[in-house]
Amino acid sequence: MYTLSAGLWEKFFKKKDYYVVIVGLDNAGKTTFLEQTKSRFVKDYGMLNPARITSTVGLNIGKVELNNTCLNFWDLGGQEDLRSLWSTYFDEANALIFVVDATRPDQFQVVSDVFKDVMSNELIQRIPVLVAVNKSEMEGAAPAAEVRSVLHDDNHSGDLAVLPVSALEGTNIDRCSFFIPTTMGTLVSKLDSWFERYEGKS
Amino acid sequence: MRILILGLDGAGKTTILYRLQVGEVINTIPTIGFNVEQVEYKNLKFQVWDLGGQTSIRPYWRCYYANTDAIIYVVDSADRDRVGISRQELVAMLQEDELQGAILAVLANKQDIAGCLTPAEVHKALGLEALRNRTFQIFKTSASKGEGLDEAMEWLANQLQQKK
Repeated sequence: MYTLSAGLWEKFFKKKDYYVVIVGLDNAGKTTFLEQTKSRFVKDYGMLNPARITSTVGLNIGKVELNNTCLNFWDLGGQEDLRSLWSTYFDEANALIFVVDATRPDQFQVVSDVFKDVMSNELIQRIPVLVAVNKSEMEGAAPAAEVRSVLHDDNHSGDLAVLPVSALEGTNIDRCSFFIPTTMGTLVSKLDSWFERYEGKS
Repeated sequence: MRILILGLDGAGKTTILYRLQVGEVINTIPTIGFNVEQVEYKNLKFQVWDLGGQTSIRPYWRCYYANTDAIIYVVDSADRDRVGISRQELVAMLQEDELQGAILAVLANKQDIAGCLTPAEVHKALGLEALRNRTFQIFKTSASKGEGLDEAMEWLANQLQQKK
């Protein structure tokens, strides 16, 4: 019992490094999202000029410290032929952020298909997913509820949140980062209560 | 700023160096040793080292690693047979302590040749998904036609300026 408790303790309390994959269609604003996140949480970070951010073909990383957790972001390229690479990062991911361009309702069907494909991965079904409805500061941007209505998460057992954000202006960006340790915290307390019950019975 | 251009022999490293420096294609011969040139891009001055890529001289790459700010790794996208060797060299190189802080730009070169590897295929063939602690970017280039090099330099300049 001790080994089990100690193992669980270690798994849920001592592990402070979380890995977060950022995916979504190309030009949704994933890299700008990451840059804005870094500029908010990393001291003295000089944000890349958003106008000079180009299409990602490769990987951008970011390391952000929040209270006693450390979030490691992997921002991946979103072009069609690069999407098959996403799943190679899922094995280590503790959370996923899916960025959607709210100003492109014409793409929502593709968004829906791509999201469905991501969510069909068993590794993703178990972890928290945050949908960042980006560019919501723009005129004519679709409301988060509309984006939510095209996303299917039938087999998902992790937490899901859909949040309107502006990567350019920084609206709700910090809340996206806080979502991760918070939802992980929920996970710990859920398991904790389950564990107490289990111990009480034995 | 110190940049190294690395990659297997015949990938196009020297052609890229002189494309960057003089803006035209020059006839090159296999490099034994190195070429070094001062390259200016958007008010940034780079000292660019192009090291010979033949099997026998690859072990000497490490002599140049100290104080490197960025690596331009050139892959011949049309040489499917040797991309595995290119992967081994890249993996070994990136494990070096002296290069831990260096920015990586991978140039999928010779994109003008029909049937060559796409950037996504180069990503897979080089096993780049295992590289999770470093920002990197893949660029489609054709050094002989001068395509894609501007994008790569622009990206490098932005990253290096930010790192400073």
